[in-house]
Amino acid sequence: MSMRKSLASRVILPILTILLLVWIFLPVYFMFISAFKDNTEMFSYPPNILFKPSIQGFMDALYAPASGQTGRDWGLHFMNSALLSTSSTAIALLLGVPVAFALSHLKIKNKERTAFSFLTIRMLPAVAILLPLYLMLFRLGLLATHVGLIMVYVIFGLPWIVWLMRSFLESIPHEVYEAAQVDGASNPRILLTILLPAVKAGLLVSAVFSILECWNDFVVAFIIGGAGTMTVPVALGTLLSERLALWNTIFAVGVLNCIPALIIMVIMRKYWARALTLGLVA
Amino acid sequence: MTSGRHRGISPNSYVLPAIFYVTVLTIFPFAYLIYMSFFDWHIYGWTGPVFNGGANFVEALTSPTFQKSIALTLAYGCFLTLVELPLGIGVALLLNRESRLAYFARLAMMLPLVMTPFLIFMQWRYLLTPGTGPVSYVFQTITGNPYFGFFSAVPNVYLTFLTIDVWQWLPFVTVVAMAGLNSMPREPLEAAQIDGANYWTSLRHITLPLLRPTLVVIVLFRLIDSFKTFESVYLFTGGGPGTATNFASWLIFKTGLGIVQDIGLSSAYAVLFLILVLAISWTAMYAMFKIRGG
Repeated sequence: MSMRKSLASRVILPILTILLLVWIFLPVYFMFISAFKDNTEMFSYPPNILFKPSIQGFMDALYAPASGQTGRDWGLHFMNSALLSTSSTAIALLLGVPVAFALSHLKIKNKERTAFSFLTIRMLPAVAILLPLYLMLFRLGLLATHVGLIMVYVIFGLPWIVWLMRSFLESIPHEVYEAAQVDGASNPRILLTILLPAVKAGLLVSAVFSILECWNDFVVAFIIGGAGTMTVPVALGTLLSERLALWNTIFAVGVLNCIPALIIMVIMRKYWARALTLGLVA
Repeated sequence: MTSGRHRGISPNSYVLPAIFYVTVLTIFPFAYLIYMSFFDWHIYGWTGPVFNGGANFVEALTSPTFQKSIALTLAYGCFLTLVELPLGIGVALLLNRESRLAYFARLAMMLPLVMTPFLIFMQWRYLLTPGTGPVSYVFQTITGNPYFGFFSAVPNVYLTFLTIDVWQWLPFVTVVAMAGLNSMPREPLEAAQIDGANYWTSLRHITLPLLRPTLVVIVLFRLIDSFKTFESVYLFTGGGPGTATNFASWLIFKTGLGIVQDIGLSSAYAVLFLILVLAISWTAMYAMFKIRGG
């Protein structure tokens, strides 16, 4: 690259990089160590950097449900988060993958307009559209139910599936599709036995981003969810309205909540930029 | 080519189920939103719905609360983007080199991107809480004030929001800018180096112009995502101090589903805000595809 091997590149750049790492890790570090404080240590001020680690926060979070100090059934909240994000992503895949296939290899009417309508969903401020959805779900008796939430999450998962899968399917040369067609294969067969097996990574990436969208959501679950559907972020939010914020329990839950995403992050680092922009930047 | 019978279902039918689903769950609610915006409808007071013509729109467009909220939302989005774009490109250039440290930093940058945003805000709330948080302690030592107003005074609250937003979203700008840097052709840059151009000249005249399509994508996503600001207001300020953080999403929520529950007015706010957001994003998407030659 064009970097000169000067003093600047040997000293200043590493120092700046280290400062950047400190900036990223310091807040997370404080969150992480707070998860291992006991209830007394948590309130010592100034906060200690060195202390005897305790798993009280984790124990309270996992084994003192409902009746415990936090009054929350975290098992249920994690189940809700997992159930809602995976089932809505499954439906979004069923609906979205055929669209991505049509946009990348078939001749359909209004191709660009269709693609853009899915991109537009990514742009919508959820709160604005949740107001009528709230009333509609209320009329249908689906407010604060899993079905109602899944119905809405599918919408927010679709842009990821459609645009990412389109970008991955487009990377397969159209000649592959044509050759299979000449051999007499039908479109569903081409999609299922030739194209999709060739973009397994893409399928995984788009599914993961759709799952993350729901897993990380607060607004939708907060507005149209209820006590029975409470996901982890919403349940965390309710803890703060109590008089004393039990930071060790909160962050114990937070650390557990981040682990799946962290594992995925490391596995998929190659696709990250492409995924974040829905395939707009490769 | 075989006959049409063998090709099975028509290509359009691959799109129809999804289009149908999206229509039922977004276009239909949007139509319902427009419908509601023409009624006087207070859920809490059990009045309405009573048709009141365009009264809600008149009220929305003439209300200083709404005007201020929209101006604030736009200004905040532009402010964030203007800070994060150069900073993010700088970090991308910093990390776009072959060293173990830079590789580790590139990996670390993904941490804020996968963390649940709500948890990020909790983390900052802990850091800034007086009498508990480490950052609060540092400010107490420096200023001598144990209750430093991170959220309670006007310039501070914006700086705090900006700091948190930079922590959360700078990695997005960096990761995308880095992808743009790596996917651009190398020949112009190499030619410039042979011609003796220094780092800054080639950055300004070659790298940044080539990066332009990527920058448009970044600006679009940062602006649009800043319009969604909601959790941080819920968790930190409730719209205050005064109306300092009364962003559009929060105003719509508070008016429609808060204490007042004025569905009609809230719907009018939402319709106007959606039109604005759609106009901005469609203009940007159009520009984006023109630049890419699509």
